[in-house]
Amino acid sequence: MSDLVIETKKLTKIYGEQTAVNSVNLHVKPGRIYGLLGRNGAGKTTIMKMILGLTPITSGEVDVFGQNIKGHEKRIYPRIGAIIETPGFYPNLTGTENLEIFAKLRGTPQPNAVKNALEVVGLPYKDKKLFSKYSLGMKQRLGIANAILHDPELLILDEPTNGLDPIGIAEVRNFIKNLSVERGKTILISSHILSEISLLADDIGIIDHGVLLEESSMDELEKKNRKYIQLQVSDIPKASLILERQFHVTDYAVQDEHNLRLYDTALDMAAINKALVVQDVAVISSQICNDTLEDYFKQITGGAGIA
Amino acid sequence: MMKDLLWAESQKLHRSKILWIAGFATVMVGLIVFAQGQFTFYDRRYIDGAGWFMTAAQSLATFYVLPAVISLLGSYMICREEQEDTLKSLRLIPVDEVKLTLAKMILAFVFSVLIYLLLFAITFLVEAVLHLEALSVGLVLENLKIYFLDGVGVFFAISPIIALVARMKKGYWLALVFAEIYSFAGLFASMSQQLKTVYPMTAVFNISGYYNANMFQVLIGVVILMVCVILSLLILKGWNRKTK
Amino acid sequence: MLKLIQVEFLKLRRRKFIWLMLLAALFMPLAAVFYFSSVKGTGVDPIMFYKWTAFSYTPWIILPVVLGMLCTMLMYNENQYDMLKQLWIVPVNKMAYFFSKFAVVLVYSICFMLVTATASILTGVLSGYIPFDSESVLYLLRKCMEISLLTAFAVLPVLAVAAAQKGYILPVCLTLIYTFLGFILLMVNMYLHPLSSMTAIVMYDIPGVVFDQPLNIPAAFLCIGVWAAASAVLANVALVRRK
Repeated sequence: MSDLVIETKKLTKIYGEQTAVNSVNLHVKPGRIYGLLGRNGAGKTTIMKMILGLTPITSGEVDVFGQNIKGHEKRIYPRIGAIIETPGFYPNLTGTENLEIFAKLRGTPQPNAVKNALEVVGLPYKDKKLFSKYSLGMKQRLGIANAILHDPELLILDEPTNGLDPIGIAEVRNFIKNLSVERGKTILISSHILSEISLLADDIGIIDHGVLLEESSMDELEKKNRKYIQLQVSDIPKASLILERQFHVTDYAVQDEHNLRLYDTALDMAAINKALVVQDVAVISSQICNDTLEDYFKQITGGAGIA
Repeated sequence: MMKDLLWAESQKLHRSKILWIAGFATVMVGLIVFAQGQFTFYDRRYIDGAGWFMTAAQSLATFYVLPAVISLLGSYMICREEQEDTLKSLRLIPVDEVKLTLAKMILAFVFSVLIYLLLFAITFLVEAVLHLEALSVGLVLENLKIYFLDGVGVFFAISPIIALVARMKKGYWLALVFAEIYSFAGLFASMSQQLKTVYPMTAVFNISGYYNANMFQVLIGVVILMVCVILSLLILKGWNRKTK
Repeated sequence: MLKLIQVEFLKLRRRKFIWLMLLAALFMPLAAVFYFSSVKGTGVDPIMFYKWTAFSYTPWIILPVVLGMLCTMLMYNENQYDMLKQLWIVPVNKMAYFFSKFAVVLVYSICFMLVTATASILTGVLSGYIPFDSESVLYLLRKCMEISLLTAFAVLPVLAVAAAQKGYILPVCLTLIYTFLGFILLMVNMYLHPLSSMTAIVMYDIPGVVFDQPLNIPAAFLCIGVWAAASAVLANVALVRRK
C-alpha cells in the first residue's frame, strides 16, 4: 500500500476506435490539490469517471485510498465527494430539497449538513426557488454543495468553476483552497483554464489528447519558469559587450539578432538603458517577462496552446 | 436503506405534474365511460342499470388506458434519473441500482392501486347520485374488491415492462406502446376461453372477479401473475449481474 | 416550407424507435389470423378479412395511439434540448414549423397503413383464408389511404398539445384519452370527435357495416375540419407565447 490517495497505473480508455485516455499514471498525494490541466476533450472527464468507477476501464488500474474501487464502493464512496460535468438534480425540487434527498440516501449523520454545505457555497437554505429555475452558476454551486455534504476526505471536481462569473470563480477558488489548507482535504480538480490551475494547485498534471504529458509540483514548475528581462536592441554583439564589461552580467541568453534575455531581474534597468543608448545601441524595448505556464504548456503540447 | 429509498422516491415526486396528469386521465376515463352510458339499448340507458357504470369503467379502462398510464408512471420515475443526470450522483453515494428500481416499482405499485381506487370512487359516486336506492352493499363491496384486485394485478402484469425499461434506460416510448398493445390485446385474448385464462391482462379479471372464473382459472391467473413478477425480478437481477 | 419538411425528415435519422413502431401495424393482421383460425374455416370473403385487419381496431385505436406518440416524440425532442429558441432566430415561421411536423406525421401515417395493407394481404393469402384478387386489393389500398390521410388530420390536436407543452407525459396521456374517447363516441355520437368522424367517412361504403346513427359525411368532415383548425390556432398561440 502506498500513501497516495489516488494512483492510476497505465490507465487507458478506448471508445470504439478512439483512444480517449492513453496509459495515464496519476499520483495524487494526500492533503494536496492536484490540478489536471487540459483542453476540452483532452480526456480529463474520462479519467475522473474511471477513477470513480463510473465508466469501465479498458485497461490499467486505479487505486483510491490504496484500494481498487470495484467491489469496495460501499467503503470508498462515502470518503469521496465529486462533481462530474454539470451535475444533475431533480428539477421539480428546490436546492435544499435536492440536497436533503442526497443527505438521507447517504445516511449523513450531522443534522446541519445541508445547511452548512449550502452556506459554504453561498446558496440560501430553505429557498423556494426550484432547481429548474437555477442559473448555470447556481447549479454548479449546488453541485459543489452536494459534493461536500458528507464531509469527504477526497474531492474530485471536474471543472467546478464552469459557468461561474469571475467573482464566483474567485469565491470557489478560495473555498477550495481553504478546504485543502484548513481541513487537509485532498482535491483532484480539472480545468481547461490555466490561470485557475496555476492559482490553486500544488501539483499539476498536463494532459493532451489522452496522454499525460507532464506531472510535477507547482514549485518545480516555477523553478523552471524563471522571470527575465526581455531586451530588444539594434545591435546584439555591442550590447552584450556593454553588459558584460560595464555591468558584469553573465546570466543572459541571446535569442536572435535583436532579442536578448537577462535572467537577473534585480539589475538596474535605467542604468543599462542609459549606457546602451549612450554607446549608440538603440533600445527598442525592455520589459520584465514571466515564462508562464501558458508558454510551458505550449512548449510541451507542441505549440497548440490552451484556452 | 429501503425505507430511505422509498422516502426519497416520494420526495422526488413533489410538485411533479405526473400524478395530476395520471389522476386527470383517470377522471377522463370515468367521464368517457359515462358518455358511453348514454347509449340506449332497447329503450334503456346503460347508465341506468345499477352497477353498469362501475363494471364497465374498470374493464374499458384496463383494456384501453390505465395499464399504459401506470407503466408511464413507472418508467418515468426510472428514466428521469438518467435524463436529469442524477444517476451518476446516486451511483457515487453509492446507491444499489436494483434496490433503487425496486423502490420505484413499489411506489408504482401503490399508484396503480390508488388509480384504480380513484376510478372506483368516481364511478361509485356517480352511481350513488343517479340511483342510490338500486345499489346494494354487496354490489358495492364486490366492485371495490374488483377494482382493488385490478389495481394490484395490472401492476404485476405490466411489471416486466417496467423492469425492462429500467434496464434499457431510454425505453419509455417502447414501454408505452408495448403496454398499450399488451393491454389492448387482452380484448382478443378474452375471446378464447383458454387464452383468457393464461393471458396476464385477462387473468387479472379472472382473479378480480370481473369474469366469472372457476377456482382453477383463478389459480392459473395467480400463477401467471407470479410468473410476471418473477420475470421482472429476473430482468432486474440479470441486469445487476451485467453491471457488476 | 419544402426545405423545412426535408429538415424534419433529416432529424429522424438514427431514431430507430420511430421505425420500430411501424411493427405495431402487424398486430391486427396477426390477430385476424388468430381470430379466423379459431372462428371460421378458409374461404373468407377478402373484404371481411380486411375489415378485420385494416378497418377496425387499427384506425380506431392502434394508428391514433402510434401517431400520437410520434407527435409527442417529434415535439418533445426539440423541447427537451431547447432547440426551439435556436429555430426562432433562424428564423423559422411558427406555423410552417408546426405544419412541417404535421407533414412527417402524415407521411408516417401513410407508411403505417401501407405496412398494414401489405401485412393484411400477406397474412391472408399465405394462411389461405382469402384468395388474391386485384379488385379487393385495390379496394384495400384505397381505404388504407383514406384512413391514413384522415387519421393524420384527426391527431392534430395531440400535435398541438405536444407543441404547447415541454414534457411528454401530458401529450402521451392525452393521446390515450383522446383515442379512447373517439372509440367510445363511435357508439354515442360520431360527429363530435375527429377519430369517430374519420370512421364514419371511411366506413360508409364498407359492406356489412351497420350504423345505428344516420350517416352524415359532411358533418364528419366538418368535425375533423373544426378540430384541425382549432388545433392549428392553439399551436400557433402556444408557440408564439412560448418563445
